[in-house]
Amino acid sequence: MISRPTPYKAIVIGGSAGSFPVITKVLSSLKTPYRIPLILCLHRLKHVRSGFVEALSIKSNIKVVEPFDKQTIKPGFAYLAPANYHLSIELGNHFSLSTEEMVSYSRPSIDITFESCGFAYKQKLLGVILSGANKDGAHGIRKVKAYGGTTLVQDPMESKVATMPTAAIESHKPNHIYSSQKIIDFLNLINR
Amino acid sequence: MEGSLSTNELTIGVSEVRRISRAVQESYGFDFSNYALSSFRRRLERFMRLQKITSVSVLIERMIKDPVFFNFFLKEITVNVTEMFRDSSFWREMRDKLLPELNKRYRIKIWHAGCSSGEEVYTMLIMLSEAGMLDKVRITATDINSDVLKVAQSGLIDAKKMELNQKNYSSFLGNSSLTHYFKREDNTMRIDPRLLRPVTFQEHDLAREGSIGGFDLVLCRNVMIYFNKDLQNRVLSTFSSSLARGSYLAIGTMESLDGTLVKAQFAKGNFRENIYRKTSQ
Ligand SMILES: C[S@@+](CC[C@H](N)C(=O)[O-])C[C@H]1O[C@@H](n2cnc3c(N)ncnc32)[C@H](O)[C@@H]1O
Repeated sequence: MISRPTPYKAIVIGGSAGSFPVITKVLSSLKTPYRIPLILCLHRLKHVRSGFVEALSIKSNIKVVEPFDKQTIKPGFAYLAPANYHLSIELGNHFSLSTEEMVSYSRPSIDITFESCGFAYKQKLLGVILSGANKDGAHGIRKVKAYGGTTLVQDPMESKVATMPTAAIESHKPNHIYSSQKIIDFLNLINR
Repeated sequence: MEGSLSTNELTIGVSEVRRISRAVQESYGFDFSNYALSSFRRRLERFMRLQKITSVSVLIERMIKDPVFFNFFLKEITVNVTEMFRDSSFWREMRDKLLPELNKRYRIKIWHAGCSSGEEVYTMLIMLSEAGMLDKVRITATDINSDVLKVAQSGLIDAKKMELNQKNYSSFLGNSSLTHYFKREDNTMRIDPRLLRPVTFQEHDLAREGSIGGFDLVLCRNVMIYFNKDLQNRVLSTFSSSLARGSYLAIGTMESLDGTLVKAQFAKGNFRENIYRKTSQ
């Protein structure tokens, strides 16, 4: 059941293997003006610096950018964690990057981005875990919920690779488990 | 609120982070109060988790009482991850566009601020050597962390790290092979000591100390990302005062001078990478 939507300040989305088609579908289905900034943490090939933003941009209704360190977060953008950096949020509504050790063999790490979003936005955050081949994100999304945020996991039955959403569901009790179409509907619904 | 959940779940809040940096400053002088909250908080949580310390008060007490423990804390709290030829396109641009400019000068002074275990300095040395410019440079490499400086000075790199360095060097398109510059010693690789001749390594804290002289090029990459905007501005003005008009500042690939107080003093010109030329006096 979808109750009265809260005013979200940000939506953070994590995914790896199999999440690319879902993300592109989401980005091409958002009704504009979309007022909530999207923060994307997606695993990808290491040391490949370019190409991903372009690929995500092709059909996107909102602008996709890789934020530089301390860049201000604004509505109408999807911010993609850059390759080989962890992406965090500062309390002053801007990003911070870091080259700390990999977490679950990943940099960017979904756990790091989710935890930091949870800490900064508390109940004004929606955290979404999509298809993926490892367990990164399971700890982060639990933190998002613990900080008071809303959590949504792609239905493992519908996910191309179920490991990540399954781990997310095992780590905590998500508010919603949705198919990709329902995820899109929900994202459009909360954009009041 | 005091963080005292199970260690795995340990979360410390903003006021506790402040308490820790205040205690560190009062007892030892180091100033972490303007580090970026997100990563500094995470480093603190990580340290407490690894040390199995479940409350901030206990951490502070131990640090105040035990200078050896504090020293260990200092080493663990900084992020020292680095690679040779990190962002190969940056180094290609350095080689192809910046070196010809610098080579017009009689002597070239370079400052690596936050050099960690030395990979960035070695990268510079190899590039300069391949350009035949090694004889005219003087390099000062600094870091807050004396342990990583010792490693940098030793010229040793863990052999396990060489695969990534090799890969980066290949996409840099250097004119030799990286192994050409190193000699294997058990599980480590030692850089040719002749390469290290132009370098002086020294401790320097960007949060507390100012300029260390005039330079033709300052590199500070992936260091200011750990600072908040205020400290970034202060450090950038230190760099600016170390650079004469026409000299250069290179920052990390995902950093920017946009929105900083020194922006008007620098221009990117036709550099595509994050290399800036000082345009004001
Ligand atoms: C991630 S490493 C960057 C190494 C290298 N420049 C690179 O880009 O690969 C960051 C370094 O900054 C140093 N650092 C942190 N705070 C500092 C400060 N206040 N003054 C000087 N160095 C500092 C750390 O000790 C660490 O070695």
